[in-house]
Amino acid sequence: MIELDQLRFRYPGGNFELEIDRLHIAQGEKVAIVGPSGCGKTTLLNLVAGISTPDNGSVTACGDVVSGLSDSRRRDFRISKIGMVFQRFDLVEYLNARDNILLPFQINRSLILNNDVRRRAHELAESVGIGDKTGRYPHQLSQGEQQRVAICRALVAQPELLLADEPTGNLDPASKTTVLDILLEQCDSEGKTLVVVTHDMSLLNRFDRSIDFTTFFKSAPDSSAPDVSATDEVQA
Amino acid sequence: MRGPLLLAWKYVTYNRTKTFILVACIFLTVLLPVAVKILLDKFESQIVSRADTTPAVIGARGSDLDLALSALYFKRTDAGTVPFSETATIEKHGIAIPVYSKFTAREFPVVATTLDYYAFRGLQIAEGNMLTTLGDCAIGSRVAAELGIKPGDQLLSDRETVLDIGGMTPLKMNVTGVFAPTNSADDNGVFVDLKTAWVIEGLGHGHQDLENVEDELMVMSRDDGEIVASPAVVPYLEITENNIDSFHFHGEMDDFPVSAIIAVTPDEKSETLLEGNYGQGNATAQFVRPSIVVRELMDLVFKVKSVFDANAVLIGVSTALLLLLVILLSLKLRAREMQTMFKIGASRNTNAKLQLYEMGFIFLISGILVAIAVRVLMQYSGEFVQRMLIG
Repeated sequence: MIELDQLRFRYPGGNFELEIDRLHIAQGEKVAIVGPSGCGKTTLLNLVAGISTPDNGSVTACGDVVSGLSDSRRRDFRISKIGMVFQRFDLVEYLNARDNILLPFQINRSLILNNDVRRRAHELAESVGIGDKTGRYPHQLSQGEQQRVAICRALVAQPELLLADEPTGNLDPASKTTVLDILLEQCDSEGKTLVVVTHDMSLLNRFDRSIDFTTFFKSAPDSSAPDVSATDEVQA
Repeated sequence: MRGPLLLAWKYVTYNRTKTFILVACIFLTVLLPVAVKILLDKFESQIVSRADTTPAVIGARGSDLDLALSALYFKRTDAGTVPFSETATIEKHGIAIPVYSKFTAREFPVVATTLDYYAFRGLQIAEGNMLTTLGDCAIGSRVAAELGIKPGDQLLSDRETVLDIGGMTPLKMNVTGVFAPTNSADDNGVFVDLKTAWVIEGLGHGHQDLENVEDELMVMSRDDGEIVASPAVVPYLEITENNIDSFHFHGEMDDFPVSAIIAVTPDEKSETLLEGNYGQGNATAQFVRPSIVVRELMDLVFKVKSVFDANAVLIGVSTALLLLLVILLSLKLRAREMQTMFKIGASRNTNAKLQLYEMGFIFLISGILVAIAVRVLMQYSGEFVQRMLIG
């Protein structure tokens, strides 16, 4: 499912360098990535999703050599094969929950919005317990509910791989467990691969395995590693 | 609607306050100069066309603009009056149409004139009959519509001032007809015979027969057949078949006032001769060509408008800069949203489209509102300008 080979990545102008000789995550596997802040966990997700491109080496995901794809092919790859969940949910404030779930179908022409998709969106919302709240706007939802909407948005295009960056980082303990349960259930039921970046060691026993990322970066872990917003592709 | 277009629409409708402010900015910036242009064009076309159809006006010396406005729009000005006898001088060169518009009836000008005026302006009775006797009036279409009166009704002239208890007595006039609309100042006139206006002014009146009066308190003195009425005699407020014969005028009619006299000469030579009459230093009246006076007025108006136009351009530029600022701030505020869309799979093109469509919707809504406002303005501009001219 995910294959990283001789990967080298360095942010322009930064002293942070990520080096991964080989990393393999199998189809249907549920993996937790752990490590201190700034060690490259989010960078890994960005590389796998094709948001960032490596300086050397290759990234293969869902059968595509992501690192070799053009910008537009990487966007199509991302929207059709990857589902992404973020720590701060990142819902669009002026769209209600239903429209947020269907957002991928509004921003990329390669996805066709039809009644089947709408039905699937509704079923997803029902399955995560927000079926009666799809008409609400993000500010009208609790944080746990917002994250459920974000999970539905990540799943609506039926991706093969789900990447979640600290999905429980902003949630209270009760919501934390619920959201993680939902993520694991959704991946289990459809055989999807799940990669979750987390700081929360208490959750590790819920995954098939965890990868400690401390060994993959060369510089001292600090906050100098830029956020994904500083990557070349986003800023270009 | 779908894709970025749908998202842009959702953004615009969700952020109603922002949308309202932007739309209002664009709406006002565009509408203001357009509205001024529409009103000014209407004003020019109305005032010029009426002036062009009125070759010459003779009236009291003083402001030629006041005289022209008084003759064309029955405006109550300080233009003064000329004696009715002036018509005789003009009739040596052409047709003289006296106009006396000193009084009002329910705030519409009472226009006292002769039958020649109706032919000159092409006024046609649409309902009822033309006025025939003293105390009759025929009203313009707007007067009829606004006051809700029709032939057979009565219309009371206004006192000159509300506190003028001891002054002229209002006259109850009989409405005989309503003129067809002309979209001119004539639609606002209450047309009467000159003598009726002079009755309103108190130069003529009717009262009970003092020769055969039983109550001697009505008579102040009788001297060689000349009877002087006492203040106890109350003049008639209405002219009827029964009392019309008692109406009489005190003084010489030639000395009675008129506001202006429209002169219609058969040829240019006659007009030049007439103008020459009033060009002499000892002339008590002045000769005015309304078309020239009105064009001078319009020249002044357009000079003022050019200042306004420059101002409108500056406002337009500042609005454009304001919009740019709003867009730039919005981009900054929405950086995270754009980033999320990019991470999910949107192209940079999609984000640009979103911004473009949002501004497109703002301009579209503003444009629709401006179009509606312009349509309404064009529909009512004639009436508005009429009111402005009549005052």
